[in-house]
Amino acid sequence: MYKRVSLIFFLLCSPMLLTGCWDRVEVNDLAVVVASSFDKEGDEYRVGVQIPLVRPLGGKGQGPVFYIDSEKGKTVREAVDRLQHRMSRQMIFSHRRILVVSEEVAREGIRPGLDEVARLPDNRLTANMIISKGKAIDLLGSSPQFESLSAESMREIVKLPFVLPVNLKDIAQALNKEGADPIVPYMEVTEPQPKGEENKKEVQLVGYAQFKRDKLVGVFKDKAADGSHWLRSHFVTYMTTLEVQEGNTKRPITIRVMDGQSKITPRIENGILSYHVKVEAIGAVQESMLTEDLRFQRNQDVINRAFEKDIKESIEAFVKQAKEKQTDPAYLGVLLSRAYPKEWKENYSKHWRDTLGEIPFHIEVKASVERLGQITENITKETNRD
Amino acid sequence: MDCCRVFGSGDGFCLCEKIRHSRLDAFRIVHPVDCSLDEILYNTGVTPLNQVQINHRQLSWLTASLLLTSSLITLPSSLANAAGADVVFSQIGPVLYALIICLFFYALNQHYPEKNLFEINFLVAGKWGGAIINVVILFFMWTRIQMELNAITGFINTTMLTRTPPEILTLMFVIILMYFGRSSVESIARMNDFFFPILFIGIFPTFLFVLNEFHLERMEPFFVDGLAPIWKGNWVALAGYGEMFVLGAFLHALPKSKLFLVSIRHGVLLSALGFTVLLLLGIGVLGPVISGRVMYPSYILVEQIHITDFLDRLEIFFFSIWFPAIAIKSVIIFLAILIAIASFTNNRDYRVYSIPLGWFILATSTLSFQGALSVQDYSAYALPVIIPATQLPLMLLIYVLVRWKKRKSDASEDEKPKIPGKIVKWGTYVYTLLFIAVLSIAVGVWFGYEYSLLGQIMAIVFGLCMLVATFFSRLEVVKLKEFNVAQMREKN
Repeated sequence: MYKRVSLIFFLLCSPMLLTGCWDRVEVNDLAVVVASSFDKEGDEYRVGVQIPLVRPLGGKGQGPVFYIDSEKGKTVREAVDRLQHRMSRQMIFSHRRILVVSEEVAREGIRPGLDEVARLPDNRLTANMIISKGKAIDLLGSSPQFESLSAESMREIVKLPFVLPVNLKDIAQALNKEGADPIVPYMEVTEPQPKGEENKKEVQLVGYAQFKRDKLVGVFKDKAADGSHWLRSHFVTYMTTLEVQEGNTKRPITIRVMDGQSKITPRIENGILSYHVKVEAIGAVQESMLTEDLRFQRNQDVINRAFEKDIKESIEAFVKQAKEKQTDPAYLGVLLSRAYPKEWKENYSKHWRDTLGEIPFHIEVKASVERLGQITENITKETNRD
Repeated sequence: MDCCRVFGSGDGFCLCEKIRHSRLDAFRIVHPVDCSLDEILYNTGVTPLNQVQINHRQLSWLTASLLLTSSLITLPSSLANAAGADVVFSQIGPVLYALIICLFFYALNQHYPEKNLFEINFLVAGKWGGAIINVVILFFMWTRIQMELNAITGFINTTMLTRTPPEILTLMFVIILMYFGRSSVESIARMNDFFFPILFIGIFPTFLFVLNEFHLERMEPFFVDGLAPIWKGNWVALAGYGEMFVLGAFLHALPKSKLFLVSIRHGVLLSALGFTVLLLLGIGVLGPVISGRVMYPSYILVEQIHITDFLDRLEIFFFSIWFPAIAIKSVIIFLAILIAIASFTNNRDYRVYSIPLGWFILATSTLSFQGALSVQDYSAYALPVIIPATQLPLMLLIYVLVRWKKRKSDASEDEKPKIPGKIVKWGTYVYTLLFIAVLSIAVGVWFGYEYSLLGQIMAIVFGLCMLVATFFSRLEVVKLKEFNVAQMREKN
């Protein structure tokens, strides 16, 4: 009897526990932040947020599909708190995949702004950072054609197979280490050509922001950006257009670097430090404006040499720019500390940036274009029957 | 059949009155004739608390759970802070320390096979001496359970349920403890049989899932900072292995042969291997600096898993599965405290203390630590000193008293079957491999600074030694168990 009474009492009381979920939030009360932007105004941060609006996105309503708002604050969280004061829904950052930082903020240093990203549990270190040309909030405000949200558009672009994968964790690791500097995708707002619908603006990857410690000092573009692919831990494919001499004229041929391997080895010989970069690359022809048939070995050899030269030039351009600004985006210091821990600690670690500019690089490239595509020469080329 | 012989002697039994009597009555109806005590107990399914037994595998996994589970949450950050990239070598010293505790318990188990540590203390040190020793151990265990409660509450409060008051989380946890406090160590051993493999095997898929974020080439080189970080790492890791002492409470329920030593050793090595793999993952994915600066590197590590855009936020899934395993450690300590308290009353039926102890622990949890950070600091800076400073003298004292008492009583020990060399050799291999592991650290520290390749080779040798030692210790457990079974059959 006593047990039955206890059981009934327990069952009656147990629903009371259901009311006590302090972390319960109704979906209807949430504002899901998908991207945020950091700009600078005077001594304060201007933090912008992009929040999708559920009804237009679901196809049941008209009007804009997202909402952008921004606010100022001495810290990022102060600005977010001020924003929250005019929002009826509670902002959550669990689904924020993109952080856009303006060039201006990046030049002053990204370290302070990164604190809240790791401190609060709803943020994630797997999110991507983007450095914007001009104001960061302008990137949030762009209205790409393919995606409903500019945040989604930016995220898809940085996930494309030819873009170096860099997330917040990678940036933090490069910043907290001696002998390494981060590089971060650099984007701008652009208008499609010819202009389509009014006010439609696209986001575009320009290159990679070059950092010296946590401060932006330059941008790797074009050739230098291609070179960055060879000096990172994992190779990422890209496309390049070579100019090949044919008779008296130079004709272009576009090649996709399908696969590649690079080995960077530091060497200290007679007290002199040098880096040996050994690259092996396999390319695939995407388009050829050459008149010669590519099935012949002599023509392939010409392309291979041009391909090797192009890769070497791109690496040299990347190294040159890194040296000029005394930055280490290739983790050269880390590589040295792994191979020569004693020398690194005693001779190089303290004056690493000064040393960087003087280090010679020996680049050895072995590249071949192994895939010609479905044709060996242009099918419209007139046949010479003589 | 005298019912009092079975149940009424005040020894304490694990089943409630009603089940006890109904089963016994039913048994009497079926078997009206007298039968032996063992038969009655077997047929009625009644297991008295003083006859609770856990087998060799359960002991191994229970030991590993005790050392590994919640330490995975609380320790890695302090370890990475202390040892940097050399954190992967932080388990070897504590393993050796845990093996000393194993040998101590083995010696007690041989001399007093049916007694637990607290009862032995009363036997060898007398009423007051035993009480003082037990109070010291009790205080240690109370501190440990407070640490566990605060650490787990802090973890949940920081990562998942940020608005729920910590007191409520602690209350929920204490209710779990009180529930298990009504059962025996067998129940938690069976629960552990299910959850420990999930936790341990789960570490390896984690390795695969974060492989895309794992950069060996970005890791700092091993052994370049000399012995200091490795030494510090080993000291800090000692905090997780001092828990071994808690197993003393269950000595009466553990295997009585060499199997005890072998099983417990396997558990220690299993735990060290799991910990080392997770630490390696931590520094390979997050790096030593981030691992040292985040409060819960294991959580952040699992958070890095993102297999396409759909398989994201797996940490919630992983930790909801791992959570019961994490709670096992606290339950073991709670049961040990109950057994310690019961030993003062010379009665093994500790269930009556479960609820009052639960409330006491809940009440004192708010007074003990100021949140998870103070637990981490205490664990990293105070425990590594407290553990050897209290446990080593205690072990020495108890061991000397046991030897003295035994010599005085002049009791002749039973003749034990000699274990064949083909089984003993696995144990010798384990010790040899552990010695090589220590040697590899020494060589790495000595030459790694100048010759980085040698340092890397030594790191690989260390890892292989730990892996193979764990495997060999498992083989030893299996072979010894087979031998014991064969011996039993021969006797029968």
